[in-house]
Amino acid sequence: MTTVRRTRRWRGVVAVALFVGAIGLFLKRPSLLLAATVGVAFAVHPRLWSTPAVSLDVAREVAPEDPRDGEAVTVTTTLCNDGEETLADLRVVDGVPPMLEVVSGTPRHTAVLRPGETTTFSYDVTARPGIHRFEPTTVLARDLSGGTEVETTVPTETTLEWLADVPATPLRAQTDPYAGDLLTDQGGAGIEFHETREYRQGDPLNRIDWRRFARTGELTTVTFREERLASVVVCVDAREPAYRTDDEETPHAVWSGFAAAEQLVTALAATPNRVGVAAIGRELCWLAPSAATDQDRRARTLLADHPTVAARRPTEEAGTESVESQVRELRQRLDATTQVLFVTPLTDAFVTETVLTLEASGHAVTVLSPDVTTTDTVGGAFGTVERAHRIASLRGAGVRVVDWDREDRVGSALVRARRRWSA
Amino acid sequence: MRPDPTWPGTLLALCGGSVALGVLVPPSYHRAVAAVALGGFCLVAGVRGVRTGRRLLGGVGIVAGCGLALAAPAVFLVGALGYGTGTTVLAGLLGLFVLPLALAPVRRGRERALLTIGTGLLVLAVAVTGVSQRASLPTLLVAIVAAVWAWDIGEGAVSLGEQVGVRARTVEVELAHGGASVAVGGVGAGAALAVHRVGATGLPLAVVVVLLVAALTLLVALYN
Repeated sequence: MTTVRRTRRWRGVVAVALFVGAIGLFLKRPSLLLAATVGVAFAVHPRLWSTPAVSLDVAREVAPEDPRDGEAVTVTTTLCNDGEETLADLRVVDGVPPMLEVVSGTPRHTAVLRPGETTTFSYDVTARPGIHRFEPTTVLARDLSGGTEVETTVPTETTLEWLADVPATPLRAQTDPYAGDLLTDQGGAGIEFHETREYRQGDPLNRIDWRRFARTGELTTVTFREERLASVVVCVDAREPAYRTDDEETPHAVWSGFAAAEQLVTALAATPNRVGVAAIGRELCWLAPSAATDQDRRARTLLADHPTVAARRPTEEAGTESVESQVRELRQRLDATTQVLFVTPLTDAFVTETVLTLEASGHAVTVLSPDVTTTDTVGGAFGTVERAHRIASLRGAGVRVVDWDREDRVGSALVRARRRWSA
Repeated sequence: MRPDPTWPGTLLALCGGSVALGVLVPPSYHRAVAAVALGGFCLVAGVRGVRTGRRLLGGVGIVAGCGLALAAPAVFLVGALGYGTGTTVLAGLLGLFVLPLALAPVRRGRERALLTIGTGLLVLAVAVTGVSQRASLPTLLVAIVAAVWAWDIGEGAVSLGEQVGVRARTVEVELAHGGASVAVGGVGAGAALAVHRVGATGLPLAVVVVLLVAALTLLVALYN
């Protein structure tokens, strides 16, 4: 969208020239009158130049392409004047993705560009896991007098995908009736010991506990825990109440949630389990669970483009009605045996109710909750207590909750939680 | 607890400074020294009054203080140099002092206002000189072009700072803009000189004045 405006900056000069001329006229000083007429030249100055026509091409390079978390990445942006006019006063602001912090250099630049000329500038950002898209570059062009300013944006396609590794995701006991790698509590064929029971006709001979037979003469069969496939949907809470953070330097819970969701989907997609993605917020975002080999890529593509996956919180109040209808639709789309991995900061009561409803309708829910509460203010301390209460009530209903302190990586939090649950 | 410097010490310090200057200058200047000291005291009282909520009284104190403090050098300059040159020098020096205050900036948000005040005082100096007829036309032209150019470049710097920030590279753009302004000012000054030549050699003064009035009317029309 292009805006053309007149800056009117030469008005004051003209006014002063008139004033001086008036003094010269009334006090009969021709030299002052003449000096004032210099103002005519300055008044004509902005009208000598036509409105700048901005036609620019933006190219961007990022190095290194695959950084570690927290490493400094250099972004080099090059602008080329594609038009036929010289841009005498060009000001550029690069569209740094909202979640990346600029640590050195500046994403702002100015240049005088003749047709075909290019200008380059670079700055450093800190790498953070997640998908980051560059926003359109803002360009302000003024004519040589500064009297007319053209503001426009140049679209770009640069997207950075930096994903971290997550060790094995703990899944709950709800499974599909297909052979997989999740240890269930059902006895049958498997690796891990489950129980010994009385021999039934038809049991395989290699399962008979021969030692016991030798000792006591009883025929018993050993059964093992069956390994089955799970179907999981990683669902992120991206409603307005989830866009909260505990301090200004840290990104908000929705950003952390989507970053964690991408890592979890990548980890789960590497197992034979079926994984899908969902998000509630502006609208329902949904990718059905599947064990296809490119599920990971499909999930990333969906998350890169979907309007619910936004770094900025929704400005219009998406009413509770629309969120409730999204939850209803989500429940309809979930299979009876699909479990849900819900990523939410637990900042309001609606999400607790949603989790309990899902759990009650037969979908095992695990909640991964980034902690965005702070005890710095009285209100913040109250929020901390409320959230602890919500976690306790969810745990009381049998929902597993991972209370994630964002200073840890997702993987470490999950490993610790898993150890606790299997202890 | 307000951490302001305490009153007894403040007063004594001002007195001590006044004594230091008072013994150095000839007796006719003692009143000037006393005026500046009193102005300084009013300024201190005014600033503290504004800070503690007595805004009207404090404001009056600040204005009185600045006025008294400046009145002495003003009187001195005007007395020593005559009204014309004295006022020019005073207005000009003040304007020149306000420019760096505007560009530092001493007060964010007030850069353009201070810049206007500073260059306005310089233009006032030009006007006073023109009225007192103590300078030739080329001098006046150079002065007014330079003052306007200073305002233009200064306002450009403020606007660039707002849009792009001080860490970005802006030298080329600012020089291009400044070059264009100087050229335009030069053309304007050249035209004024040309008109002056024409007026001096032949045409009746009335015609020249009418031409100039026409030019000023054009200025009014171009006010945009």
